[in-house]
Amino acid sequence: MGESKTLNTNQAGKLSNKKVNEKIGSGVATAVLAITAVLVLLPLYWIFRSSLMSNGTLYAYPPSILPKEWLWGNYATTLETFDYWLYFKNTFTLIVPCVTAGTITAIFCGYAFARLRFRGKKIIFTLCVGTILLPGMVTLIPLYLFWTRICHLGGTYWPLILPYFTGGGFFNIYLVRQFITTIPKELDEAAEIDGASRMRTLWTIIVPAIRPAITVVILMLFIQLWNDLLQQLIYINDMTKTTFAIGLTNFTGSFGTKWNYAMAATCMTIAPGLVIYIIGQKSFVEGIVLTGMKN
Amino acid sequence: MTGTMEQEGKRSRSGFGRWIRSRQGQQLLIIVAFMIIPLTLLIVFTYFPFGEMVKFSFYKMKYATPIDKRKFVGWQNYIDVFRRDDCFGALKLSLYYMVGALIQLVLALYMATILSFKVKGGNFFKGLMFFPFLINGIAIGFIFKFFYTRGFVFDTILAWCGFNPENLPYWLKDQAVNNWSLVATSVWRYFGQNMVLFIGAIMSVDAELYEAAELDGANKWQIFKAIILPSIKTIVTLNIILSITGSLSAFEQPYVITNGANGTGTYFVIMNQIAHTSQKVGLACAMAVVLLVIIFACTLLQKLFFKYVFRDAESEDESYKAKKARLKAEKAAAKAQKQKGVQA
Repeated sequence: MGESKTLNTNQAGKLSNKKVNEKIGSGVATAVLAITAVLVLLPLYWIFRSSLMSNGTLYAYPPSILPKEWLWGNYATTLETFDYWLYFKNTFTLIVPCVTAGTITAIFCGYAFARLRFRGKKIIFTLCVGTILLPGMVTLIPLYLFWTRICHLGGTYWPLILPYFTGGGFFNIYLVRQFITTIPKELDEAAEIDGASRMRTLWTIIVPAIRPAITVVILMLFIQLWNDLLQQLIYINDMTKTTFAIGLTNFTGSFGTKWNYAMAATCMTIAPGLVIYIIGQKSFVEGIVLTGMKN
Repeated sequence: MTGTMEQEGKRSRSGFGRWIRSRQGQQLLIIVAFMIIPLTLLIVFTYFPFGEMVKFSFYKMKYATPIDKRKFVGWQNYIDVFRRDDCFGALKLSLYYMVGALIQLVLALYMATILSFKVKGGNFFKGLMFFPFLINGIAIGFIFKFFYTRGFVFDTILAWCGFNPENLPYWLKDQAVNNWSLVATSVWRYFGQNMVLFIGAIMSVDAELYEAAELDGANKWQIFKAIILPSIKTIVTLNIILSITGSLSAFEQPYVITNGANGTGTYFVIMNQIAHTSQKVGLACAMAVVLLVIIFACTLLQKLFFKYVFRDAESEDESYKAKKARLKAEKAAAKAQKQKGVQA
């Protein structure tokens, strides 16, 4: 091209040297990526493989990478004692109200912090920021006493659901607030001049504009609940209210020696998360990019 | 806001007094409606239990003890926290998790940088590496119990790599390695999440800057150091602060994999045992308070540290802006030259 014509030989030499370096660099990068990918995938693949083997062949040495026979029947046998659909129903009975309540309150609160002006806003905001530093474990004991002794709600889902009405943790409120501040104020002022109420402005102007942030909040809440284990173990002791986390604990406890069935149960509990993630992944990454958490 | 009020004020000057009253009334109503539920619950679920916990930490009590039977013991619980070897000593384990967190952040940052340039299958890798974050804790515990069992997955891989399986330690029992095994699981589980956050931040950096820098002859490392890192320093700082807090309060990996056996009990695992197995609620509350003080102290120190590190940040930012301007100018010059070259 015209460009290379204007370069003298010295520069050309430098360029090719740089190109070689770059090639080595990208080669290293690809290798690191591939190795990490294998390391991430390996434990997951291994339990999937093991879930399809007979218990005897699991202990064979050296182990085979692919199962010799694909025993899909393991899943059917597991389902005889592992009450998958009950756990599925219970888990989502718990997650759906939490995510809904968390998202809606996060939107309201984030809007209030971003747009409303009132006395004491700064103090309230600081108090809320402080809660990020408080690990959930710390308040576990007094909250347990509060729910079981004062409210007598032990054994129900309420101790798990009600806290999500606070926007599901301040991080989500903060995310919404940050995103709203990037929307030009003229937009909602114009709507107000046209006579729209605050509520209307929020739902017709703000909410559509912050959709990426809302997606992130929903997925964050989902993951948070999906991973929450200790609280479920503490509050739920009724067999009919068992969720995935508890069901799997009990199952692997009683079938600890039959690894293949326990593996099948594990694989089945991972599946819903995988499906939701595949659906939401694109908008999740996009949402995080758009919320522009750089500064 | 004021603009709106002025405009509306001009429109209805006569009913101004009534208007502002109703307007303010409406405003107050909105504020209350928007904030009351979250705020009440914030107080109920965070500040009230926190206060209760501080109170409990001065009592000797069990969960079932009625309020009037609780025995006030003063500072005894706090003295116990520091005297018992299992309580305060458990904090030493946080150091393992801090090292892990450091590795995790570096790895996440490296991956994020690679993946924010165009890579074949980039989306696949992003998805894959984030996935462990979506597996619930019990399943993680189970996967890794299996993974580290003698003669199973990890031993097999090492045997393929040429290690003698006879000489390998018991990964979850041998006290020399078991904490590292748990830390590795923690890195495995969480680095993808950090990576996605970093990618988000890096993608919002102006792509023109990279192009300009590349035209200028900068290599990838220089681009990273001069453009990417300064642009995302806020989120990196935030992640460092959060990871230190996270290391101090590490809980799930040891809880689900070893349940704190063989010297893997972190502070919270021990606290959980003291509270729920031995029912020493007062002592457990004192432990929680002590940890909270440590976390606050650490956060404060870090804030001061970062303030010190970034105290030149403002001037640096300026030079960064200057650099941006310079790069733009140079890019334009290069373009002009290129065009000249084509013309010639």
